Amino acid sequence: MSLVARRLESAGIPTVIIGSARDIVEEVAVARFLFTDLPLGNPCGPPNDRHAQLDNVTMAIQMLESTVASRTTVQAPVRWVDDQWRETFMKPHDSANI
Amino acid sequence: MANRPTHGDGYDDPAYRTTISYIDRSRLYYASKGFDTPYRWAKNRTAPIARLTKPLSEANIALVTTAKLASPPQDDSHVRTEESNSARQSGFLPFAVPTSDLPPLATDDLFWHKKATNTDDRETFLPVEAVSGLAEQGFIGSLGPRIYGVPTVYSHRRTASYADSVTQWCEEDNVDAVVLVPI
Repeated sequence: MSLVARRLESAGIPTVIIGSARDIVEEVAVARFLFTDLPLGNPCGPPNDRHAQLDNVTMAIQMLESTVASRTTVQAPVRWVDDQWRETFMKPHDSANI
Repeated sequence: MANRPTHGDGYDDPAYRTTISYIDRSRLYYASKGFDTPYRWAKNRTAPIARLTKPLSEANIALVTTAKLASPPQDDSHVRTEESNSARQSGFLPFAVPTSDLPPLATDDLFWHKKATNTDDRETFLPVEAVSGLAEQGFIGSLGPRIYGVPTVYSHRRTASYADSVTQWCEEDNVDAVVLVPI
């Protein structure tokens, strides 16, 4: 997806990515990135939390106007209910993870 | 603190970072399965940037998703001839569908944290209602007439060809800016 953003920017179309895989997006390098530190699957916000989803989408769209320099990452304040998910994703030797 | 993570991150220990490195995790995970050659991610030191040429309140903003169509597109004539039949059969093809008549999307084949969450609420990964609401309020001009889909494929070349398709669709739809939401 980051490669698509780069292609659009090169064609003169500004972009912003809303995503939760921070290192992947930042390594590919994009113009604007709203980072939501959530489990993969719900980059716009937790399920059924319309308030958080709208906040994140609004923040991302504002970046289209406010970003000064390329490779800008903004970290959204949204949090998951707990942090256990960080330990349970793609653990080596775990057979039923993905 | 007794069982230190073996996969590079430890959210509760200041000796480790909180944010997951998916590059590290996937490399270690697949190595543990016997895949010795890790995937090579695209890496760049700079990124192109375009400027919005009109106020947000006048901008036509499109959405791009990595979700796939529950039923593969009937018309895939826009797809380059080098696409394999398996990609066509699996539905991992780029698509453009009407925003006002969005067909069912599927995420089961995609890479996300199935132990921790679900994708039953489409707004968590494709914020059509949220962006439509911002258009109704006048915060943006409009939501684009089509939603674009770009499957995650682990091929820079194929992704580049999909990016060309999305760029062409944006130009056809007079899109001023794009919000991309990888699941």
